[in-house]
Amino acid sequence: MNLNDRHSMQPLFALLCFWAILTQPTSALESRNDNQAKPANAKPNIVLFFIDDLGYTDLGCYGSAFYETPVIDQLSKSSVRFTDFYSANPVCSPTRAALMTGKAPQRVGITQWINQPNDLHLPLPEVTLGEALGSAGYQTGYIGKWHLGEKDNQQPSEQGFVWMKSVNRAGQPGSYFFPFKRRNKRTKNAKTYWDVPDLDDRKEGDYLTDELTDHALSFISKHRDQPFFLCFAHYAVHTPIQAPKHLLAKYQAKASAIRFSGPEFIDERNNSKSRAIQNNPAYGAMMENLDNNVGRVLEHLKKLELGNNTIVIFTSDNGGLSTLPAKRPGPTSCRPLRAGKGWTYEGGIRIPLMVAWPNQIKPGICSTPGITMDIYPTLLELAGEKQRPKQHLDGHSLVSTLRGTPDDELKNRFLAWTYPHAHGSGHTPSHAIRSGDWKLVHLIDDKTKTEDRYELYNLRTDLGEQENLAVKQHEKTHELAGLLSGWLQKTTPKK
Amino acid sequence: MCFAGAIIFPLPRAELGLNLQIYTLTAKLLGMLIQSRNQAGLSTRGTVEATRPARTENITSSLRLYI
Repeated sequence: MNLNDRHSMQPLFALLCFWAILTQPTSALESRNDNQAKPANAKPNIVLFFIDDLGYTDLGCYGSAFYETPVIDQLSKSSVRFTDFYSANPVCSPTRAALMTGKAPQRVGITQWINQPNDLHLPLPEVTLGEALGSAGYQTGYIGKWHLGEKDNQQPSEQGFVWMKSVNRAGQPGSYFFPFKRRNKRTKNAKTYWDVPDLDDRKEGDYLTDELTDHALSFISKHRDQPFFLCFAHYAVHTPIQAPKHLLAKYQAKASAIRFSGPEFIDERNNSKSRAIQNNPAYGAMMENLDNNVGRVLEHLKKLELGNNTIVIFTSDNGGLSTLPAKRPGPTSCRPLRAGKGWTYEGGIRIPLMVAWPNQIKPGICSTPGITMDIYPTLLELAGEKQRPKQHLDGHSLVSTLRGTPDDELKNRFLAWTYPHAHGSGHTPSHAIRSGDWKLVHLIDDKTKTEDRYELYNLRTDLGEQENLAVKQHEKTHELAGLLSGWLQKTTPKK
Repeated sequence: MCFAGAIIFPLPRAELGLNLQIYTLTAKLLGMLIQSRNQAGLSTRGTVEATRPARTENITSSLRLYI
């Protein structure tokens, strides 16, 4: 073709224009700032910080006065911060299954944390969030805790994440310190499910959260010119509670300076106790280290000039570990919420969620209730991808509420949970439902009694779930019990 | 029906509707079904295994006090 021949170029030019229009991604949000406009074919990068056991009040921006999280607090100022976001379940594996599938955990048969050894795993036919974004052209990466299957063919690499690092085969790391393995008389030097791989070249004293962040920076650098989705599933701040030593003394001093007149522990059902105040130095040191490492990732994005084109999501998999039996309460406190990880009270399921996308999402505070399953359709919509309603059956995109005008579904729906298992925290099987300000907890197998028990709370006036209104407001109890029963029927697989 | 009434607590019997009794039974049975569907190998009694700190040479004895 003669390039100087204008007539021969016209059809080609028209074709290119038509193609450009077809492939122009729809802006997810109306508030797009033209100064920050991306190239026409660029999708936003996505970094999802998925923190383990991070409680609702574990961050400064969510009310902690003990843990210092200045980076995450700053992130919250550039985010939509949700006040009423929930995990799909009060323990980890079910919530992780919900994040990956957009389905209520019982639909995929994972309603309890997965102990080892176990054949239980996320079913491979599920189109995971990784697979959905991968098929949309994203480079997908996964770092850290998976806990959705321990065998080679059950790992993130088989579930849509092309690149994965330091994914162990259990629900917590063997150790936060090099060599990141369980070393005791029982295990000796044998390989265990808890060993964290891909860090053999580190040295004595190296700390796991720092090392995982090194992986993250490498992944981001490698894919800086392509849209990428990084699911950064930190092991922190799950047990073992092991502090980075350089931060420990600071929190020991802070803890000893606390003057607290009330009881340090609160009695919970089934002879359990919840921690009443945040005063655990080791946990505080882990939190600050986590915060530093979130900052390293954000700085790296900025340094590579990716900050404006990267969606950052920060959330947890369940409430903070606050409640345990006898005289051994958990390391953190979720007050003013009741109980913690393992319970269907607010402390076990209400968690932080922040969504940031500079110049695209206007920062603010959002009280629209949301749940883990919503993240899947939300990310699809933000990425300009079509919804997959047959996959994310129980999730609804939060984009309308990120815009400031929640749609009718978000305004009117109820959220529900089933955790029909006992848990080491003292929990006995229960279901729960929240509709508007009301929450019903159905204790279905209370070992201390022979009866079922309903508890009804008004979260607007009683966030701590102290006054059971089930009898006084029996019509509301009936209404929510009916919704809960219907939801269980709808979401329980038929075979 | 007597059985269904007996397992509902603490609602007074006089205020119990048939619907609530059905809801209660349904939720209880589905809970048991979901529990059983969670496949073999999972304890329904719970365990504190996942909440215990590993004992390694890197964790000082003082830190163990905090968990």
